[in-house]
Amino acid sequence: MSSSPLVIGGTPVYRRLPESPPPPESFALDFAVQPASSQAGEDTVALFAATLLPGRYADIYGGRATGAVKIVAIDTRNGRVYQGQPERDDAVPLAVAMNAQPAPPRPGVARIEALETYFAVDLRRQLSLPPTAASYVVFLWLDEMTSAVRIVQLPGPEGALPPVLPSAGVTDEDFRFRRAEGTPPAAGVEIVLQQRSAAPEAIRIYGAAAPALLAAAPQPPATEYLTVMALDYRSRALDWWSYQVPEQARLAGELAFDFDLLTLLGGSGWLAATQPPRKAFVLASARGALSRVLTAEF
Amino acid sequence: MCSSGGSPPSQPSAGGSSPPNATAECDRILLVDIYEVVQREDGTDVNRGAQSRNQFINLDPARGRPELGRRIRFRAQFRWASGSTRSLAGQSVYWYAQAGAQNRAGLSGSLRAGFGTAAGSGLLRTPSTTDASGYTGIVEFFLSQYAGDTFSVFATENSDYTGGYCGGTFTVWRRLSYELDCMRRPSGGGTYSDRADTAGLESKCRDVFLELQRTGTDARPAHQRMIKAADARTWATNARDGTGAPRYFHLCMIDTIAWDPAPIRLTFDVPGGSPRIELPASTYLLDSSDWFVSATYRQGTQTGSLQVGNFRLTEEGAPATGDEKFVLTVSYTGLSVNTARNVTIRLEFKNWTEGSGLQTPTGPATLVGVRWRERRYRESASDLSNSTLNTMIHEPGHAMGLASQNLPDGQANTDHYVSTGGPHCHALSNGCVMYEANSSSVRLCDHCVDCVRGRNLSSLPIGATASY
Repeated sequence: MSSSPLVIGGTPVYRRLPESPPPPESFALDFAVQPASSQAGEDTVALFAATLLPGRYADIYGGRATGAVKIVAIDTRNGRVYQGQPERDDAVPLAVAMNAQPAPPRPGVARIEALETYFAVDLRRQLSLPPTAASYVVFLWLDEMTSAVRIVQLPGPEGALPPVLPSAGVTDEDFRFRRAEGTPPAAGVEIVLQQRSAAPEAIRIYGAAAPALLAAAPQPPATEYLTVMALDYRSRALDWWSYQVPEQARLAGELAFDFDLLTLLGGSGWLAATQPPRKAFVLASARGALSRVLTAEF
Repeated sequence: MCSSGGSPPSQPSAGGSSPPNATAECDRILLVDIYEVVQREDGTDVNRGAQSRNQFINLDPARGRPELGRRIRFRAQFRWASGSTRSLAGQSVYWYAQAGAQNRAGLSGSLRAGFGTAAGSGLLRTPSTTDASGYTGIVEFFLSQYAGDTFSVFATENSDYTGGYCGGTFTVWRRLSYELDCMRRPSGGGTYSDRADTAGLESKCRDVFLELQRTGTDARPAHQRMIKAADARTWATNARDGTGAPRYFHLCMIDTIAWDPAPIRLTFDVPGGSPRIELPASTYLLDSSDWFVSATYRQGTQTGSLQVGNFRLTEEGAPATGDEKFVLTVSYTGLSVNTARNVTIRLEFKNWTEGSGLQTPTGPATLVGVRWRERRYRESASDLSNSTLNTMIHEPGHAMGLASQNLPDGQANTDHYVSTGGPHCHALSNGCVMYEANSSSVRLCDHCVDCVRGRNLSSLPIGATASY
């Protein structure tokens, strides 16, 4: 990869490039990746994105919509999640700039129907990925929307696995692998999530992976971790837990789980807007598959 | 029986005559006093009585200014206990330093305190000898590089390095100069100086043993709606007249800092009548002199291009009322458009990202954007104040080597330090001032406190990956 002619800068680029995906014909987040070198000459991967968003996202995020897109990479070896957004640090925080509850335009004022943006980033730099070689499950995430998932191999020397910190200390009560009354049915190769309770003190999310997903040979390199993620609408914080899929579940072809959303969101920080109505977007990923976004309002 | 050591120190006697039965064989030396050796303005040395003080280790030593630099020089004077006036040459004297109980453990290399001729010896004990008149040679002690560390320096005649007189207790401090320039507001004649909580800044710096001294005059630069990142260095340099570099930073309170102009394409359903497009200033930032890229329109089967002349860009509202917006008024003059009906317009324009603050390496200067805070926090004076103070600490914090990749003891700052667009700290979730996004938190996390206390601050800016 060191002979790659493609050089990607350290700060995001916000225009359509030859390597960018074509303009989406319908509302979508799309991206392509290419081996690249950083300006310092280090091997990396460049991510080129094209987005076409419904006008509602322009009403909420305006010209900062690109910065609202989360770039997510899950280390296939241990389920550790890295995330970032294609925006420089030290910008006015999106959490305080966004219009969380946009009203319809006043009479006589134009309504935004669609917003189209492009960006390109050095994936390793933008997500602070380790310099060592690893493969990642990569996707883009903007609230209710996700892109397709791609397995991306980051080059580099072999190195030790980074620790998986966020799920340390989580109790069995917070997260369980089990089939429960609220477990949704799953078919095909999908992962399904649903919210079954709306008590203020505990928001339980139930999930299941379809047997076919477990039966299928995992995409190389194998990822045997289940990752649950929640994006807090107001604070823009993304929290996650990853767990190794139990051997028993793999053998039985049945993976069911449930977790407490509020505990997962516990670290969302100073602008979590804990007063209702609160909203979070929830995802689960396993074996290179991604669930649809569950919007939890509570 | 005579003892060569171990006896408690004695105050010098008022008299000077030898007891009638004293002999050289059983006599012993007694500490008269311990002095700090200070260089006068003319370059000669003078012995001064010991005193405790803050020592500003990041400043160059200067004549007549013993409080500057890491090195402190001492000399002690002894006499015969018997009062004898015979020569004291070659008598052994023992120097030691007591480190404060709260001092940073684990410092290594040049960060350590110690006796010697250069910083970092790590030797907290050293012997010396007296001359014929009972004075020791000059003994040099270097404080650690860790702000807040304290050291008490003693001289004693006891060979087990106990007792003696204390030459003073010294606390490691640093001192920086800073300059404040506040842009004029767009109207009303005032400046943004009312948002600069310099007392808060100085107080927060004192918490990490850093004294700030104001320098220069407030140039009150003319108002500019936005300062682009590429122009920030020149703009700040033109406003600057303070001194103190390279132990200096420059704070500039401005309207808006802008970076990363990005083309953005919006498709509008523009109503008939008096067509008007509104873009809230909270999420859009347009440079009125250079905003238009392209535009097309469609009305039924009619399509065509719009030029910049078909739009009139104005800005309405105010931060205080939270209704600021960029307004585009559309004119269809000369086009085949039924102005009574809706038109679909696809507009591509250049949108800037509004920065919270910006650190430029020259100066170094910190530009603090005020407009967005006055808009966002118009209903909370404390949040407005803290958000501004957050940036006033955060950006100079970068110049001081925060968020550091490593801790002063050489350990990696694992899981606090992150580097994306710049070095930042993920401690306390997003509660540390050095977190990548502005907040109303004005607290540095324990790791960042540790790091900034370890920086010597002798020349700004310091990189986050720089060694200590």
